[in-house]
Amino acid sequence: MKDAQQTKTTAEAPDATGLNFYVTNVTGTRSFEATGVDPTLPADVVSQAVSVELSLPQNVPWTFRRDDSAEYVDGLSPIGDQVEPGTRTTLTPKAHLG
Amino acid sequence: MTDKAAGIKPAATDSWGLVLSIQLDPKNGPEATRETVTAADLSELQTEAWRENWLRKGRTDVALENLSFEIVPVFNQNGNETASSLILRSTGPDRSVENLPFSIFALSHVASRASERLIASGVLNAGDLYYYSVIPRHLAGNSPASPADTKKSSPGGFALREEKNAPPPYLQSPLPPLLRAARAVNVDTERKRYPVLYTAGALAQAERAARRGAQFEPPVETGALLVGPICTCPETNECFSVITDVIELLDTEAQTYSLTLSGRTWQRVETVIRTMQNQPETRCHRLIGQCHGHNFKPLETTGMSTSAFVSADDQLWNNAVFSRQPHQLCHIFGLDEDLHNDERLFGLEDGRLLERGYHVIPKFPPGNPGA
Repeated sequence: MKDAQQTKTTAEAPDATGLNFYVTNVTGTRSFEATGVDPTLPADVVSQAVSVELSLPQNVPWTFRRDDSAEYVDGLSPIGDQVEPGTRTTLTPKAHLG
Repeated sequence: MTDKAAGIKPAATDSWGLVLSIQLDPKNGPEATRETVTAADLSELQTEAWRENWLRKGRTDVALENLSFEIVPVFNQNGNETASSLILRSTGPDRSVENLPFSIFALSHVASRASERLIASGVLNAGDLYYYSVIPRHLAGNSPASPADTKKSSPGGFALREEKNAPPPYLQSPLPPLLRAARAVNVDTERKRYPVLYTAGALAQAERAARRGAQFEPPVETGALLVGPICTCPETNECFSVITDVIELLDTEAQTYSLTLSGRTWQRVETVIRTMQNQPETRCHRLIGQCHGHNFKPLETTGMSTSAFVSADDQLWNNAVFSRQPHQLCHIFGLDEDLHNDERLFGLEDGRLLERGYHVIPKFPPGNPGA
């Protein structure tokens, strides 16, 4: 849970080789800067790879949710079409209570 | 660490990997499949070891990331090289070592993953029984694993750099006077589980939110997230949680047997918790768990006389949302066979959510009439 000023400051120097954006876990206890992301990759491929890196449970699929709009990204569409440099997202499990 | 009563002892210290052997017949049946236990599969066991061996001993200065872990299998005595139980050994930054035993049921989520694959391939039918054993594999030369690195390169070529967020601080609060004023609910005095306290007001709010779905026709699942501080006791060194507030889950997709949170649900939750953490009196508040209603009569398929149980979906959801959070809770408000209200609280124990008790206190902090 970083403030907007810090986000802007960090995003002013993006990694030239790919997309840079921010990822927070659902409960807001950990956040990461993802750098050098291939913007042509489907969003689901990126979210799943991030979940593996964070040692999150692999019994559920994961998706990105934009913090500004609360909208989930389309997992099949390229991440670069839906997430701009510096965007803050939350990595959210595609799961439900039962 | 030798279990003298059972006559078993752990394997010599070394690095071990684990594989589950899945069988459809418990007595010498053919192996249906194998499933490798991954680092992520051990995440909740590591989190529980952090709580039991470090936080509850007053070592709240030790972060989970500062611990390294290794699995030590306890072999069956029948010589078939399967493990009867496991010990998770954690080593702190000062090189001190702690051990926590787990049963092989702590890996039931791994077996469940294998069973889903068997169901998908038609080898197993949904609801069929299956059995598993744990086969340790010696990993020569591997060093103990740490649960997280601050910087990693992904297979896709991108990198993750962890931002140094300060987690909500622990709140110092003496536990004995709180317990003296508390009403114990389903507390097993034989087992010294970490204490969970509810204010009476928060418990009432949680039940109200969970049972709200019973008013619909057909009834649906509704619920809330549980909020409050994690406290440390300066007298006993105990680490305990206090649920003082709930955030009702709104804008959900509610069905009779499921509850799905939307992006707007999460956005509201984040706004509320951020606001709390920015207020001096609630700066230690964090999301501790969830409660929801199983507003249906007991299901024959579960073989239980209550609908207040943790479903497989609940277990998955809690593990995903509260990953690496040792005080995670799941409170189910359901019905018994006579359709009377029933409720049960579940916490992380033996690597999964198991039923446990709690204490109800009039208010918290004790001197605050509004809490």
